[in-house]
Amino acid sequence: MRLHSIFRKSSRAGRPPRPGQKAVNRLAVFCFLAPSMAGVATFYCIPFLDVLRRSVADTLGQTFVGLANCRAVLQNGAFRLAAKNTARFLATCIPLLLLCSLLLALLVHAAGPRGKPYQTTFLLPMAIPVASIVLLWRVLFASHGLCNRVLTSLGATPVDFMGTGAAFWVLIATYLWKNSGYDMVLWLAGLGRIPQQQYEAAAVDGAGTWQVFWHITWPGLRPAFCLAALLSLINSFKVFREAYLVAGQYPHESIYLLQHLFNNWFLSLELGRMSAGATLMVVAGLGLAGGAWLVQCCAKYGARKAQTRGIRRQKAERQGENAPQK
Amino acid sequence: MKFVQMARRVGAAALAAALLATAVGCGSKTAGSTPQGAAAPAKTAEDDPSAATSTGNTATSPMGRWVEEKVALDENITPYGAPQPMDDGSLVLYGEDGKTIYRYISQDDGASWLQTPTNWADLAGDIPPLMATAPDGAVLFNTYEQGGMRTYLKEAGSDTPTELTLPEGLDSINQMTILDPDTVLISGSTKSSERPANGMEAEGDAGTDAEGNPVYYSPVCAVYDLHLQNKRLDLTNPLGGSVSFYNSPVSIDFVSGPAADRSAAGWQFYQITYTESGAALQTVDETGTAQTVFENLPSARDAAFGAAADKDGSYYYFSPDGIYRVAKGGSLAELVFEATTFQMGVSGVLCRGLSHSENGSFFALLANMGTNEATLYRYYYDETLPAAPADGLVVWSLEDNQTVRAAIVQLAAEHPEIGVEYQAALASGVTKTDAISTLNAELLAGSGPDVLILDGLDYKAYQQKGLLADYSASVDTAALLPNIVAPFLGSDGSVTVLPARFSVPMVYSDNGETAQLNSLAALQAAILACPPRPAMDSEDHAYYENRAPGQRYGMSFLTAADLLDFTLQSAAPAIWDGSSLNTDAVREVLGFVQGVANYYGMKDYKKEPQINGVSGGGEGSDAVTQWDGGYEYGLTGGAAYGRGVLQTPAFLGDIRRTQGDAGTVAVVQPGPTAGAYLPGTLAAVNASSQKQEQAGAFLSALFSETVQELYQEDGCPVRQTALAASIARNQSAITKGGYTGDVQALFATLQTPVLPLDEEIHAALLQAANALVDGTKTLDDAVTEVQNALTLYLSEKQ
Repeated sequence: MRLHSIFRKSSRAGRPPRPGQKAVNRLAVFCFLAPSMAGVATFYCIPFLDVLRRSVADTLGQTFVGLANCRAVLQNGAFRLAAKNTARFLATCIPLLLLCSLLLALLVHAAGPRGKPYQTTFLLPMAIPVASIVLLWRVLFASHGLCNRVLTSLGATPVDFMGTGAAFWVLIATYLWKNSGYDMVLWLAGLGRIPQQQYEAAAVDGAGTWQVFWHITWPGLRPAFCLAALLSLINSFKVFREAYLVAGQYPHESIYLLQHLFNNWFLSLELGRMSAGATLMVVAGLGLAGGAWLVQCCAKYGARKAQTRGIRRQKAERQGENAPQK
Repeated sequence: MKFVQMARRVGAAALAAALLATAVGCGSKTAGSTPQGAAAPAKTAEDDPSAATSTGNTATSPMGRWVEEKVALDENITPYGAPQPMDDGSLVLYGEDGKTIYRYISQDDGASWLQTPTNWADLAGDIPPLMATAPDGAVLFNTYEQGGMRTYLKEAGSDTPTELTLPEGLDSINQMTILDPDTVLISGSTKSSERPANGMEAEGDAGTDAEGNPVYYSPVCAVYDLHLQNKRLDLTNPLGGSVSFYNSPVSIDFVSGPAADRSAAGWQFYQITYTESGAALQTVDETGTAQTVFENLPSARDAAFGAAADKDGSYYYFSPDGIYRVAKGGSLAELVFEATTFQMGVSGVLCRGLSHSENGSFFALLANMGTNEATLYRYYYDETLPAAPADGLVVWSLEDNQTVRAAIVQLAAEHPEIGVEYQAALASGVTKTDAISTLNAELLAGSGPDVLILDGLDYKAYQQKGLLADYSASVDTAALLPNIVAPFLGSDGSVTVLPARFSVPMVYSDNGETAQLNSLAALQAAILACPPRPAMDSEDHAYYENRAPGQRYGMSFLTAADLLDFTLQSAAPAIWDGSSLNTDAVREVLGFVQGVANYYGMKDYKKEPQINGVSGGGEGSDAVTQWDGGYEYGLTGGAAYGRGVLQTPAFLGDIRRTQGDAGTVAVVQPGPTAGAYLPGTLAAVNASSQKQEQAGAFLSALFSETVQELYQEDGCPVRQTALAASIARNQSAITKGGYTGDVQALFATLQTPVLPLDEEIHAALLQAANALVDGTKTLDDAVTEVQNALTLYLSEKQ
């Protein structure tokens, strides 16, 4: 009741805030955020701080060992391979997924009401349990599986899908198949938010399909892009389940991911190395995010500068036009 | 306020309350969480004290638990069975000391016994008599003297037995169950000179009459009056089991789990029938009609001689889990009490008799299958004891371990105040990886089980990470075999892991032929010097063919896995030292696999052959199981060399050839590792445990004389005196088996513990071995393949 009245009062636009109103508002915000903050702190922040502590300690976390764990991790061939594979997987699958799902979304959106059934169809892979996907994977890609039978019947040489570099692409395909529908829904939500009038105005101006996409659709999809990219990144870590269930603790080198390594290190009680590896991953992630933020800042700065320069130029031109001719 | 708003707020408040309740509930402990073995009774029943709970202490902790105690008879008395509840409420038990038959009467539910000698002691023969007691005091019994059997009846109210004449068609009695005051169920056999359709030919003395004519036995099962004069019913095929005794030509048929149902009008009895789908409980009535009253009795495999019924017709039967009860007309088999901390739950225990008193106590006559000694135990519900002992010790192992169970029983006897919860991780259905992950998470978090049995785990990793406590103060290592425990002792005398059992991989052959077997190459040369083994398994006639000395093939191997696992029993430490792979040792092992497989032509062997095994034992010696490697040497005589794993000294007496014996000499399996042995029951204590003292008491029990002396079919004892006792117990079998070597000296040669390789290394080796057997790879390629397959594994260990 009290919070309700606080919000009602604070939302009265145009009125000057009462004395102490800001503090009350802050308290209300804190009250609302507190439960989720507590959850995040308990299940993420505090464990992460413990990981940080253990990354510079021995297995039992009792003796400080400095950067020895980090050094050992960086020198470890398995870590380097797993990090490389994980980076390669992320760099390949996330752009591919965003592209595929965007194409699907554009097609479904263009189809209008006739495209509705496809939305549901493309979401079905998400509802399939991992165990079923693994079974499907085995049926399709085993040495005597369906794919190899088809290849053999076509006269081609069978492929050892799980024992060669092809395993990587099988993993990518599984990830795309499973997550495209979900991302497509995100894109569709973004497409739905773009005002129709912009398209109509573009049609009046005679804009082509590509111009419409580039100047209207894509800028309108930017918020959806960020969300889809973030969720795709999160989902990409879940693909480990399929890889682990199909190929076990030691799969083919091409699909040996950081999760494999951490899982194996945990089984062999290498908690210090595991923590150091996790910390390095977070540092790398933060570095990438920081880099992206810097690029964004630079781009914004550049755009603002260009805008300022344009305005100045326009002003100068206007001043030039208005100046009395001598 | 609008109605909708009010409804929303009420809903929100309800949700908040539910959330709060859930959060509070998450933190509370389960009310019924008590250590196993101290579990409260499964179900209430009017006449069962297990239903009782103490009202005086319920505010603090639940009271009452089942207690096991040895029935206090004189030390040299052998009870004939479980006590019989009498009509007057007392219990009667008969037993003998080799000279006299005694009657024991208890008026206080078995807590104390009054001993009186019977006046028919002179009737006791060579073998303890077979006896059945009726609730009115009548006793029907057999005596055996110089091979002859006599049957007597001591009627109720009399103390003088009278000899009975066996009716026509019944020549011997194997089992007697009194169904009512004048009715007895008999199973036995009748003999004839003509081969019956369902009989068996007896061989030897018992199979021929005085003129040397063959004698055939066929089973008999019938219901007679108590004087065995009138046959009341001929039961055509109710026999539920058959048992053959060592060196006995005659199999004995019996009714499984018989118990008289005295609640029925007229006589009726229960029996268990074993089918492929499980065990079923049946009733057989006066008309001979068998009716199944309960399908799929749980854990009823060992109930053949351990069953009883009460006056209400409820049926009780023995299992290693505890005592099960099936109420008359009920559809649930309930566990009356768990036997985790009782002698009843120990492996290798056979129940020879079970009874249930009117006061709700149970009596079980339990025999150790190794020593053959029978002890009578009483199980009663003590309301004055807390339901769970105050100190709960958690013992963890991957797989169920019978020596650990024996130690739990011993600990319960020595320290009743310490409760034990035994967690066999894989028994709960999780995978090995999940079980290890859970354990590691707990240990690294500073919690977890108090005592760890590290079989199947890399114990060195736990040791090196400082997760194990030093328990040298709890175990007297000087009393253990120095050569077996030395590799596990720290340089400062600390003890973090010790094996409580060990086995020895052996190869053996006729006298004089094992002397040169001192390496894998020598063994391979010896095998290749013999003819190749044909492609066969126990489903082929050729498998059972006894071959003349020059015609015998080298050694039995059925698959690539068979070959590999054999070599790894001595080569594992050479292949993997915990940090690096020794490719020379890999080459040596795979070279042996390839050499033998190519010579035998194993490419043409069945991919999934029938594995053959046989268990033997008797005459007080431990049971020994021989698989194909020993079977093809000793029993079929096809192989020149035998192989097997020694888990008891009785093994040395069991490896002789049964045909054309020339004496057998066994040596420790040769290979890259000298003096290889396989340690088991690797016991350790969690360094973070708050119960170091109790854990020490458990380990003290584990390495105690009592537990070490017990034969659990999982290896030899590591305690010097227990091993000496085990050798002494089995000496007659060893001598009879023709083994002439010094058994103690054989054990003294052991020096290197061989632990199973990590699953990844084993899988890589097996893949290479399969390729070599199939001939799809050369030795060089196979070695390279192993290296490649383990690249990631090795890289992780850097």
